[in-house]
Parts: sequence; C-alpha cells; structure tokens
Amino acid sequence: MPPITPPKTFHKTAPAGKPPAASEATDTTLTAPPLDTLYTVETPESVALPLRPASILPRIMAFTVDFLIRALIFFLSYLGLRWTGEMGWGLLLITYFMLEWFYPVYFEVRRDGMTPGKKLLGLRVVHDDGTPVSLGGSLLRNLLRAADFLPVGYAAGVVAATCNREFKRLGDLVAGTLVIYELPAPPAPALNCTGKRPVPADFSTDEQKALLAFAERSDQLSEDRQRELAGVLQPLLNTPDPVLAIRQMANSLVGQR
Amino acid sequence: MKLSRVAAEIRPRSPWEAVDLGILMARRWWWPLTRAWVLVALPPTLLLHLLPPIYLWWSTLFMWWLKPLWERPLLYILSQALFGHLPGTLETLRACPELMRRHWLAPLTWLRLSPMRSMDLPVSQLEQLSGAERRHRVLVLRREDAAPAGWLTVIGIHLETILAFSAYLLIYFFIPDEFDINYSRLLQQEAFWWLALQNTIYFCAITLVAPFYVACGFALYLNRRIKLEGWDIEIAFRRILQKRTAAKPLQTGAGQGIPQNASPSNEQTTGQSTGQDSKQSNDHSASQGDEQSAGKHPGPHLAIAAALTLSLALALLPPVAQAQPEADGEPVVFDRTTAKQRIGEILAGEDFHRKETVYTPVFGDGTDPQAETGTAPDWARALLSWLANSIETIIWALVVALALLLAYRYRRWLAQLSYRGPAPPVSGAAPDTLFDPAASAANPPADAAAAALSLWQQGRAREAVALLYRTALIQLTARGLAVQDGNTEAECVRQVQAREPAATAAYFAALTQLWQSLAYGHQQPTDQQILRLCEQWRECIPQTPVEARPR
Repeated sequence: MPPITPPKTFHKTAPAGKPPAASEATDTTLTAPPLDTLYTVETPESVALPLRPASILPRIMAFTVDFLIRALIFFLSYLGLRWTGEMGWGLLLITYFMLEWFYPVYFEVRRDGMTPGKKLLGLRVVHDDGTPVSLGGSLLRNLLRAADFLPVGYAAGVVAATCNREFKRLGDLVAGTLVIYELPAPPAPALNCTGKRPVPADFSTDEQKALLAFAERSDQLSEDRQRELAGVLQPLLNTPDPVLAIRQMANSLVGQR
Repeated sequence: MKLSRVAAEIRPRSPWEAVDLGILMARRWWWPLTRAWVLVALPPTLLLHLLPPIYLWWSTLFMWWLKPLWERPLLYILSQALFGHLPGTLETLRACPELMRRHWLAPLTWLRLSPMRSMDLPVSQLEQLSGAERRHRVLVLRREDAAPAGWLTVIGIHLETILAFSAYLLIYFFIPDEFDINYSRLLQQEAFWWLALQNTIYFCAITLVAPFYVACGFALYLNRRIKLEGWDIEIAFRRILQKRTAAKPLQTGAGQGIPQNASPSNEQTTGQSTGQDSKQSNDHSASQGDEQSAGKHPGPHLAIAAALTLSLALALLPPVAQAQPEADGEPVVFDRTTAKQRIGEILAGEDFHRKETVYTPVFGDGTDPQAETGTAPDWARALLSWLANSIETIIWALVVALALLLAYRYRRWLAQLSYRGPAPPVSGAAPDTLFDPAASAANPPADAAAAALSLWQQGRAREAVALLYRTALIQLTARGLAVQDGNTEAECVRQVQAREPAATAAYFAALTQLWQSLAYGHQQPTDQQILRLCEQWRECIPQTPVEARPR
C-alpha cells in the first residue's frame, strides 16, 4: 500500500475549482492579506470604522515633546518655589508627582485624548472600540507606564508595541486603549480644469474616487506620468486627450464647471 | 512589476503612517530579515575580535561603521518580498557581493553620518543612481514627507542604546546578591571577555533595530514614490479596465505606455543588476527589456528590482514639448542612440537640477557690542537684593492673606469641624419686657392673694387674675425659672413642671389656664376658682421678697 503523502503546496484560500495561481514555492505573500496600517472597528449598526493606529515611533516623538513641556513646567516651578525654603521643596515634589502621573491623564480625559505632544503629531487616545478614553482607562494606561519602563527607558513598552498589529504597549493592552492618528482632513485641492464630461454610469464609487484622485493629485504628477496613467483608460474613453477627459469627468463629479 | 501582487495596501499615507507600514513589513518578514542580517554581519564581527587586545575597542566602532553595508541585503529582501517574491537565504547571500560592491565609498565616508540614510538607500541600491544624479534624485524625494527619516535615525540610535542598557540591567538583576562583585572595577577593566560581552550586546541591539530601521526608510521612500507617481491611481485604473475588458493579469504601464521615458532607469537597472543579465537586456529596446527580464530570467528579483525603479523618471521628467504623442497607445520604438540622446536631454532638464536660494541674515561686522559682560555695580546689587527681599516679603504676605481669606471664606465650614462642648446654658436673665411696663413699675404687693381677692370683689376680675399670674411669674423667676422672649404660656408651664414641686406646678398650670381663658377667651372665672387660687397661694407659690425689675 503506497504511503499517503500530503500535497507539496497547500493553498488555504484557493477555491476548489481553480488551480493554484502561483507556482513559486517561496511565494508566501499571495495567501496573506495585504499589509495595511488600518484597524477596523465595526459598530453595532454594522458600519465599519477604519481607525489608523499609530506605531511606537510617532508616539516616541509625542512623548519627547510632552517630556520637554513637563520639564519646562517643573523648571519654572523650581524657579518660583525656591524662594520658599523647605515648604517649597515639598510643593516641588508634589508638582513633580502630579506632572509625572496626572499630566497625561488630565489631557487625555479633558482634552479629547490628546496631550500637547500627541496633538502636535496628530495622535489621539481612544478605547478599542473608538470611543473617547475614560478616566479609568487613562489612569490605567498611564499607571502601567511603570511596567512599560522596565528595565530602563520604556524598553518593555517598545518591544510590546512592536509585537502586535495595533502597536499597543503593555498599558494599552491592559486598559484596552489605542493610539490612533487623527489628522485634520486636508482641504480639497482645486481642480484647475474647465469643462465637463459625463462619467459612464457603470462606474462604481471606488472607480469614481480613482478618477477624482487623478484630477486632484495631477499637480504632483509629471505630465508624462499623467499621460501614461490616463492612457490606461484610453480603450474605454477613446478621446484624443484622455488626461483632459478624466479631469473633466472629475469636474462633473464634484459639480465644478 | 505586478502592482496587483504588492503585499501591502498601496495608498498615499501621511509620513508617519508610512513609517508604520515599514514596521508592519519588518514584522511580517522579521525572520528572513534577521537571518540575513546575522549571516551577513556576524562573520565580520567575529573576525574583528581577532584584533590584538590593545586595538580591540576598535571592533565596536567598526561594527557601527559597517552598518550601512549590512543593511543592503535587508533592503534587497524587502524590495522583492513586497512585490510578491520572498528571496531565499542563499539567493540573498549570492546577491550580496554585487549589492555591496556598488556605491560603497560615499556611504562609508562622508555620507556615513547622514541621518537620512534609510530613505536614501533605495535610491542608490534600487534605482542604482550615483554621483550628481543620485544627489538630485534624493533631493527630489526629500522635498516632502522626509522629516520622519531623520527622526528615525535619532530614535534608532536611542533605541539601540536603551536595548543595550536593558540587557545589561537584566543581567545585573539576575545576578544573586551573594556574588560579591566589584562593579566599579569591572567597568574599568579591559578584559577580553568584558569587551566581547559589550560587543555581543551591541550586536544583539543593532540586530533587533536594523530590520525595522531599513523597512521604515524603505516605506518612506515607497510612500513618496506612490504619491509622485500615483501608483494607487494606476492600480485603480487598471482594475477599471480589467473589469470591462477580458481579464488579463495586471501589469504596470511603466515601460509600455511611454517607453521613451522608461528607458533611462530601465537601462540603468538592467545594466547593473547582475553581470550576465546586463548584456541581454541592453540589446533590447527598453520596454522589451523589461518584459524579457521579468519573464525569462530565473531570478525574478532582477525584474522586480528593475521594475521598482522603472517609473522613477516618469514622475520627474520635465514637460516635454516635443514628446511624441502616443498614437492611440502605440509605443514609439527608439534605437539606442536616440534613446541615449533623449536620456541626456532629460538629465539636463530642469527637474534634475534643483536650485534653492537661501537667505542668511548677517548683522554688521559680526561682533556684538553688547556682548561684553562685567560685574554689576554695587548699587545695582543692593537694589536687586532689596527687590528680592521685597518680593519674598510680598509673596509671604500674599500666602498669609490667601490663608486668611480661605479661612474667612470657609469659616462656617471650619466651625462645623471643631467640637464646641455641650450646648451653653441659656442666659438666666429674663427679658426686660417680660411684664407690662405700667404694671411692673410698681412693686408687687406683699400679699398678692389678698390684693387679688379685693380686686375681684371690686369686680375687676381681669386685674385680679393678672396680678396673681404676674406675681407668680416674678416669684418663680426669682427662683431660677428662665423665661425667654417668645416663650408661650404653655412652655412656661412645662418649665415649671420640670423644676418645681408637683403642687407648685399644678397650681401654676391651673392659674395659667384660668388666665388664658380670661385674657384670650373672655371667660369670666367663677368665685370658687378665684377663692381657691387665693387660698392656695401661700402654700403653693414660694414667697420671697422680690422687687420688680426696673425697666
């Protein structure tokens, strides 16, 4: 009886009817979903909210900014309190304690999840489900900075944040919080083009968005590249100037003449 | 290059988000990257330890110095894995000599301290530019979204340090107290094992950081390319086309749509990738060369590395007035000489020569007359010291004032906190207006009962009862009854009941009842009632000689 050997390649996601698409043995990327920096939350109404978790690097920058601000406040308190003898030292130590543990908590709870440093980098703390961070969550994640700090210089926090997809340090894992980007949306660029052209009716929303992106970003694309990109759609458009045609279609999408 | 097979979501990102994508890439291919790093970097590191002991400390410096070379295989792996082909370890190692041979001097000398190293490496390694071309290209890429690249280097250095110190501390934490080690002596000695331990820890730290550093720089580079060349738009457009025509695998238009523009980078890429491939590729026209190398050569990495760089020039090329119109998508074929000429024109163009005007303010002859510093005169010191003392006094005065203000503001609240003992006894003094002024002006009669009886017999019932009641109150007040403003008759009765013998209390209660009926109810008492009150007067109301209180 011949031994049963398992198939050499096993494509988990390949449908039964089709043969495997790629034959390269090392081709691991086809089966894995594409890498992306999004984290999707589904609301009870089945609406998918894409959140953009921030990695440890911008957060280190934000921490540094906050650290400098705290150091400045502490230094100014020192200048003010050094007149007042031993009582001043006591007040200074209290100031230090409050700055160390409650500076982030205050800003995260009262200022929409953004300490000044986070605001500068466009970061915000939220719960895992995207809701604003609560007092308890903020306290917990900040008190656990003590664990993230170990053995020195937040090494544990950096390693922990690198080990999961949502870039959570230990405090975030325990408190169920997330640091996300919340940059203000840039103003819609002007479409420097006149004229309108109807968009084919069978273009889906995503496809219309692509036409619009082409028109909006054409300032950043060289003219040759514009022609090349527009040339892709030439079989559908059949015009002498596909660049102009796509930009005019974008005009009609946004209602500009 | 097949954009449909890119292992990451292609869309324009904010610069820091691009860095995040780099971290995700390094996470996914962490093991191949680390394996390649160790295989490339460990042998030279071990060799460095053969140095004579006196020069051994140079080994750490060399490890730091050689990092740019060791990072190249990592970028090689990343650039290919991203486009769907993860090169094996052997394949990577075989590519190493070629990767390190090209453009090695500048990165190890005057570019070694450049903080933008991670973002610039793809330009020299993947686009294979060098010299002035490379410099201009780098400046173009850095024009936007490049700030994180510099910070990346700063953060990377700190992370390496922190990780190394963490390792030392962890070792230290796990040494039992029983071991008596003189740490200060240990840190000063230059024993081989101690230097080796230092180097080991440093090597581990850079091994942990390097894949992420390279991947983040590559992601920044990629993000810039995506924005400059609209990769996401191209993918979307090809999807649109594919949906409406026969299903064909997606391929980039780079090298197909406008071949004359793709030629410079393509020629460079294929010409320099590997020795034997270059001759084949150069024989073909640009677009054909791309397809050939992609389809025919066993090393698909070449095609991908080439394709990565294909559209680089496209985004940057100047608007070419005389560019041949692509006649309905039909490619215009160049021969080598015209292509070379075209390349020369493009490279001489405006986009490859960036001019920048920098204004720097310069004041006077560069010397600052105010810069001289001397000691302040004595009067100024005295003034300052007086000022300081005054301010201190004022601050203390403010503190005291604040304390007083707070105490005043919350005085009731503070009063609640203190225990004030049992309630103070109510003052025994009867109010002045206890009695009718006219009536109390005269001394009470010595025998109130007789006086009342005679009044009653005269028919002045009201005055008779009033006299009795008033005198009773005077007598009782003298014995300690405390009557206050606002006390009612009934309250007086209750107080009397509490203090006086039962007989007195009963008599007073009856008298009060009688007086109330007469005064308020206008009910005439009977003879009997009056007589009994007058008879019982002496026994029930204690008689002490008192004087009416003067008003």
